[in-house]
Amino acid sequence: MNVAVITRSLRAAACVEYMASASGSPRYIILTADPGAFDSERQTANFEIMRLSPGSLPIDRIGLVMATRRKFLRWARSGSRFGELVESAARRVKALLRGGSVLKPVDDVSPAGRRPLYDRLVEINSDEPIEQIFVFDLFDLPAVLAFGGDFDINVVVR
Amino acid sequence: MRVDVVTPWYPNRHSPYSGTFVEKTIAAVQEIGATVEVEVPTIYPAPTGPVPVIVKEAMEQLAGADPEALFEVVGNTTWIPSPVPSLSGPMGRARAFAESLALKRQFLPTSSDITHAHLGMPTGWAVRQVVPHSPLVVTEHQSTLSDVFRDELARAAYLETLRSANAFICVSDFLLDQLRAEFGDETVAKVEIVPNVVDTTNIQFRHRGTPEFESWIYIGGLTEKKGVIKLLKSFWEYNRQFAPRSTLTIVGDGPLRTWVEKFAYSKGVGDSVDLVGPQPHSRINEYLQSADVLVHLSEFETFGISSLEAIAAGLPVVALRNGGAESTWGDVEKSSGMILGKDVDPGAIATEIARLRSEPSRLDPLVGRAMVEKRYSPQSVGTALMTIYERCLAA
Repeated sequence: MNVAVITRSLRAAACVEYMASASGSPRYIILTADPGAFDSERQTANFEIMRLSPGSLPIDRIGLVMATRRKFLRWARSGSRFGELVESAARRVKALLRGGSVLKPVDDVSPAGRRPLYDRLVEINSDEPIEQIFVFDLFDLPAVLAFGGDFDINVVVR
Repeated sequence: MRVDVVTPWYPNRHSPYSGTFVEKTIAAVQEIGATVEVEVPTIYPAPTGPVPVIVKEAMEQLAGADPEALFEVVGNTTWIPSPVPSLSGPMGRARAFAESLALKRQFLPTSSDITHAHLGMPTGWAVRQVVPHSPLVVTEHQSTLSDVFRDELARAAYLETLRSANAFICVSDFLLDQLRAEFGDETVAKVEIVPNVVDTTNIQFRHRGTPEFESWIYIGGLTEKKGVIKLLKSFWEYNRQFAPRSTLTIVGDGPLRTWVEKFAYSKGVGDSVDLVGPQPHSRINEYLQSADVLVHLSEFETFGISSLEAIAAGLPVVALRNGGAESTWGDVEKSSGMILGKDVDPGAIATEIARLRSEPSRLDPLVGRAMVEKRYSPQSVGTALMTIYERCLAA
């Protein structure tokens, strides 16, 4: 069994396409803080989704932000001219912020900071041995490499 | 000759139609003897602010242990993950590409004679940081150059790339004019025009006799920038005023899909608008064969491959004066269709297409087909590129 790790869901489509294209239809578990991102993705791949619930880590907020962004885009692109104008205004605001330091990174990506991810991988591996871990969010890589090293499990970035 | 092509646009699992024009250009030089390796820096979105050192160290650790675990290699193509901080602009992308390309070449070195980068920024600049003294050819295609030039650092980096590249190519003179306006005649004197390949191998020419202009087709993204709102409004006017049996086939997808469906139904032309979604290039010919006219109302195009493919199929094209249209087929406008002013409203577009329908004798689609075959064939583009590569190597 394989595990796909994608805490932030921005590459959800790439993740699903990768799994769908894998030969032999291997089974995957997707670990993400934002399961909603996979609702609209192609359901042809053989996967189940597990939500990362990392407690006090800001990953919870990432999931919330992504879910809100998705809802906003769904509304803005639902066909009304007003929606288009609001999205266009939002893009202009985003462009104004570009290059500024308004937003600071808050995520601790060290293996210690991503302890819940590490623990979840240990839990999955004890239920059924993991063959390979596919990392789709590079910020998960330090924690996943630490786990892969400890348990001698192959890690690849895709 | 061994060539490394570095391009952020290339067909992949998720976007099988992204950068097919780069793929065709590569095939064109391979056809005449070049051995090509492709490197594709790929944006992995990251939060704002610098990428944590621990992430970079993890990438290095993985690349050191097993390069192909980090860099996916498929045939002659290597995918290079590049963590790009959100809101970091063109310089953020360029720096990320430079770092990840350097890491890739540290663990998976190349043995090329020359590097060909697609896009001055971010790719050309990134390559220059990694191979400061090797022969570098840059091709510019992007439609968002004005965004690059608005950023002072990115503009300076672009100029640095333009000056240091051994050869600098634009795919249309419209793009060259943009560079000239930004940097002046002297700086862009070295810039050459080598167009994209328009491969007509699978595009069948059909002489339509007297076209009915009842079956419109649009091929492209469903975005406002591509003029899709104007297209729908123009089609509705045309259907209402001139041809109630007319249809519009839309090949492509994008954020305006729902809007298109709602607009069409609200105006009573829902059954006349067929959204067929994105299609592989191998199927484009059959859509072109069943159409009477391609209508492309984008206000800004650096090239415009779909219009040229339609012309090659013998289809009249109606486009706006968007830069790419007049640059690539403006000289055969009279025989191949019509290029309208940017400000023309949907009612006037419908009227113009009705007028074109009433004077079919002015169209001579064979002229357009011959022009596309001569100017944009793989052989013609491939030969032009090989000549440039050889010149750079000889210098």
